[in-house]
Amino acid sequence: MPMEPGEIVRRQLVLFFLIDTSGSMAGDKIDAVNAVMREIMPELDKLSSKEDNAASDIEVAVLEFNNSAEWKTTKPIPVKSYQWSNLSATGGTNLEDACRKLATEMQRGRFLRDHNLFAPIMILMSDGQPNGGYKEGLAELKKNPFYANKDSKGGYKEKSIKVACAIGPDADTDVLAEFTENKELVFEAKTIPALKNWIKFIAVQTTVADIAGGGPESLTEKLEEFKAQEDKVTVGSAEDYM
Amino acid sequence: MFSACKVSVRGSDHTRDGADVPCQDYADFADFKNGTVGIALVADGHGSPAYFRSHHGSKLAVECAKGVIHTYLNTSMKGKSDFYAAQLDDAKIEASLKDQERCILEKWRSRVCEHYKEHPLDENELQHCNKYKLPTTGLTEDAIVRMYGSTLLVTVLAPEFWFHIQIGDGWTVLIKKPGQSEGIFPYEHDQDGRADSLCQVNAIERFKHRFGREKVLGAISMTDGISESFPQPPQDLLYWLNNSVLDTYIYEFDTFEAQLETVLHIRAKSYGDDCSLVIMFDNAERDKLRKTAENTEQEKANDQSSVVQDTEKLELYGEFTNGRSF
Repeated sequence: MPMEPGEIVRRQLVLFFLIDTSGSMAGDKIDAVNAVMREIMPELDKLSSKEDNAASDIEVAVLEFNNSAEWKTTKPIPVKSYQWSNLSATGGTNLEDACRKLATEMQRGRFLRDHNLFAPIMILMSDGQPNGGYKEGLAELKKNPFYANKDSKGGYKEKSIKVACAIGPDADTDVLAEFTENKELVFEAKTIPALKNWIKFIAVQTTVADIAGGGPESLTEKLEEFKAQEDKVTVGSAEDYM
Repeated sequence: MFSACKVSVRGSDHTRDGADVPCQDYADFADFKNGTVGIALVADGHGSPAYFRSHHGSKLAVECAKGVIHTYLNTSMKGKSDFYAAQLDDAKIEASLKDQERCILEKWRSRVCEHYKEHPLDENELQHCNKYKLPTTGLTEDAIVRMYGSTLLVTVLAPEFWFHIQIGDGWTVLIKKPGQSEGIFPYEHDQDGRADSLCQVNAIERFKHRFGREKVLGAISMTDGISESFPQPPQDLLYWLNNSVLDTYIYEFDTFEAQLETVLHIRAKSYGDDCSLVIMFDNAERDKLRKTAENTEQEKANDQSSVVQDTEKLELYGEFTNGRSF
């Protein structure tokens, strides 16, 4: 009888979505986010079971922030079983609290398993200026070993991926670039379709890049291509502009 | 007499995103006094960018340990087959194990420095250091050995005793009875993500060891690429070792290495880390188990044949009693 390989542990990959649900997101913007978030779960599930990929459990954690930040998931949920519940928009933009709450939970034994992890992915979406300060919260987040890529058990040369979407003309791209630590990883969504496309694109591409071990560097080229494509599409469709 | 087998396989993380990092594990075995003593060795070079020569470090660790153990065994012989070690008191054994650890560490550091002297950083390595902001000039000995960082596990099985020396992660089990292996140390995950290493400044304090006076049939030693790739170690790992690995080694010895390599390739591809395993087992015990299995098979076949014959007789008897033949 041939030797059995035995069961093999699956590695956890968590996509952290930080979604601005301040009052200015009300209407088309939050509707678009709700619609696309529901659509991407099956796409991510397909990646989880793709044969070429290392055995992975892809999970999602959602943190909404307005006057304060609140986890919509008490722990990361596998994409296979994730039932998206619609977010509504009201209040201010407390990015500071969002950074703090992410720093607290993005740790081993909290939202991340103790062992067998891919580097986490952080996806921030915001359409405005943070209310009050955000620097202290961001400074706290930057000390988080997964944010700072200082967790030695992430795997070989693993780097977390941080991307952001500036929704509409009022978003502060400089603040978002502070979050991503790279301007190239901030996308400016000028239209609702562009926002939808970006969420679909980024959720899949960051996951692919993370599993392949490419880290954020491998993403920038694809993001440039995406931006160029979106620029072509949006020109001439003025009614879609936010 | 012990026989042994070793397999090392490169993890898929080493080729992710176009990378071409060599397998950083090294495994080997050796014997002493015509196989009456078996020695299993595995070492796992660290994977982070700072340890970019750890594939050399793990190989040097195994070679140095092999040399030190051979010297120790040579000097601890009394007559042709007895070992002083079996008769020493616990305190002397403790001192001797510490002495071996010190010798291994000193030899490894010295061999690493020689290697570095003979092989200065090449263009690719300089680029690597530049990329990861690692120092390249004015390096102290501690900075040099850091590039070669590795774990080390050494297990020695002799007729009257066994001992094990380890620094860093990985796991070794002793096979005391067929199908019953148990860890030399309790299984533990590496909690803080930093395995102890030969390259640490305080490495001498980070070694651990065990000594036993009972006879054991064999041992299996592995790097954490195997043990950590199981969902619930040590339970599922022990089950696999006892039922798949050991059974194949005993009953399908001729194809064992090829089968193990296939299985480790599957694990290394899926989990990502290098996987290495060394198994050594008492030959006489293996032959005895195979003979017993063959006899059992033969008995089963005989029983089957007698059942067939009895059934045929009964059918014949039935034919007569049912009177169908008339």
